Amino acid sequence: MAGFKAAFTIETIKLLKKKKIIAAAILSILAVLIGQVAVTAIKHGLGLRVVGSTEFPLVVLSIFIYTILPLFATFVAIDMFNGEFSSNTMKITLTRPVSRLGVFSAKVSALALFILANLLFVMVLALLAGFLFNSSSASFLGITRVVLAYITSFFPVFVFSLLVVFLSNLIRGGLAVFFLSIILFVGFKFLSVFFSHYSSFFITTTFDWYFLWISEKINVYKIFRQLLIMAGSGIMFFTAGFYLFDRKDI
Amino acid sequence: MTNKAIEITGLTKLYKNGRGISDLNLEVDQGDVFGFLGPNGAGKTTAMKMMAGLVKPDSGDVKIFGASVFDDYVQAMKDVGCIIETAESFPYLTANDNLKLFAKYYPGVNQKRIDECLEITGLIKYKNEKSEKFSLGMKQRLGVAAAILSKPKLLILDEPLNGLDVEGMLDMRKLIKRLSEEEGTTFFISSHLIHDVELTCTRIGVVYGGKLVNVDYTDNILANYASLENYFVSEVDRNGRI
Repeated sequence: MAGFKAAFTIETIKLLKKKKIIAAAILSILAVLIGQVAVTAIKHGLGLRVVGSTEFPLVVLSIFIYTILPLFATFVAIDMFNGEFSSNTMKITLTRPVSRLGVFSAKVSALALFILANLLFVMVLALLAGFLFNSSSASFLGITRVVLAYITSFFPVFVFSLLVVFLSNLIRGGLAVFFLSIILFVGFKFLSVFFSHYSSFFITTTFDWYFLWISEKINVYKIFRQLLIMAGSGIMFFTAGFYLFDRKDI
Repeated sequence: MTNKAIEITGLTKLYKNGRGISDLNLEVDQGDVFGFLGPNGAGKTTAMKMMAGLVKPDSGDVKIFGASVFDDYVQAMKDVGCIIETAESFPYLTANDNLKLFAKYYPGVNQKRIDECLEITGLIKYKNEKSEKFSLGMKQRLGVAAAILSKPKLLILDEPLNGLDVEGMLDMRKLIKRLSEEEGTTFFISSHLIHDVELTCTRIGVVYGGKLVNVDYTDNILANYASLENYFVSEVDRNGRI
């Protein structure tokens, strides 16, 4: 895939230069800080121990994965496609010696890097906060569970962002894509309650699949099934998104 | 190795409103400075967008140095620089950072070459300014700097004089002449500034109503007409009546 490396480097640099990254970092820090303040206040005010040092990052993850992370992943995906189409900067990239598959893959890879980096950033922050305020309950097994939970959380969020990428190439307006993404996000959660038998097929219900990895007894069959569903959805969204991107007249 | 820089065969793209370009057949030799003339809506930009791979044709093919734009895009665009419709840059980056980004596609381009391009286009003083603060003319100059960055063998320029002041137009004209004479760069230029086309282009193609109506060398045209404008008006009139 000629030109992929250059396109990926460029997409990453462009991402780093944008204010959205700073906003995501600030909000991530705030989320961890507010969480820790709340936990400490309950501990000292009511005398209740809510979480230990390595449980705190998991509490943060359970909130972060449904709020800030998918929100910013959606913003970044929209910016990469709708934003570049509307500001006419897409043609800067598309008139260089790189195939459309190379450009599309580079953008998707940069988006994946953003999600992973954001997750790892919050994990480190939450672990540090947990150690600072509850150092007595730290353990190697606890840290391993945290790392596993954060890393596995990457997959469902990435698949959801591929859905947003597909929508970004289907619909011209970024705002419409944003609202449709939110409606789908909420809709999937809603549908999974009414159609619980099919809940695995609604992407957002897999957001908490990290529990499968950190539970006392690991259910390999369930993990494998979820992985296959996510891989299948991801491949379909990637292919459909690329099909639309490749056919687009600029 | 073909001596044709561009080979266009049966290129057709028609939009729902009936505009576009139909059955375009054209060859541009290496070293030509080809002027693509036509009134607004004649199909110039559509043709150039297809040449740059931005728009897929209904039928036909474009080969650049022997490689098809639609089948082997990377090879076809390896030695091509272009400005299509408007010169764009990433507004949140400085002129220098913009060129540094584009340079990543071309392994041989270093900071020295970037400075050289900024110097040629008169932007060296503003290299550390974000392009969002640039005037239209400065953005156009940055677009030209980006197009010539990799020392391409072919430059496809759609209205390259847009937004340039008189000094900018003279600089641009000089640049085209210099690159053509010293480095043998082939140019494919569309412009509505007929006088500039007359002064810079060695071969002219007139497109009207989505069809290429005539191609001739500038010297031949000027031997038969008082000016390129007269030739253009006569061609458009003749085809408008048909």
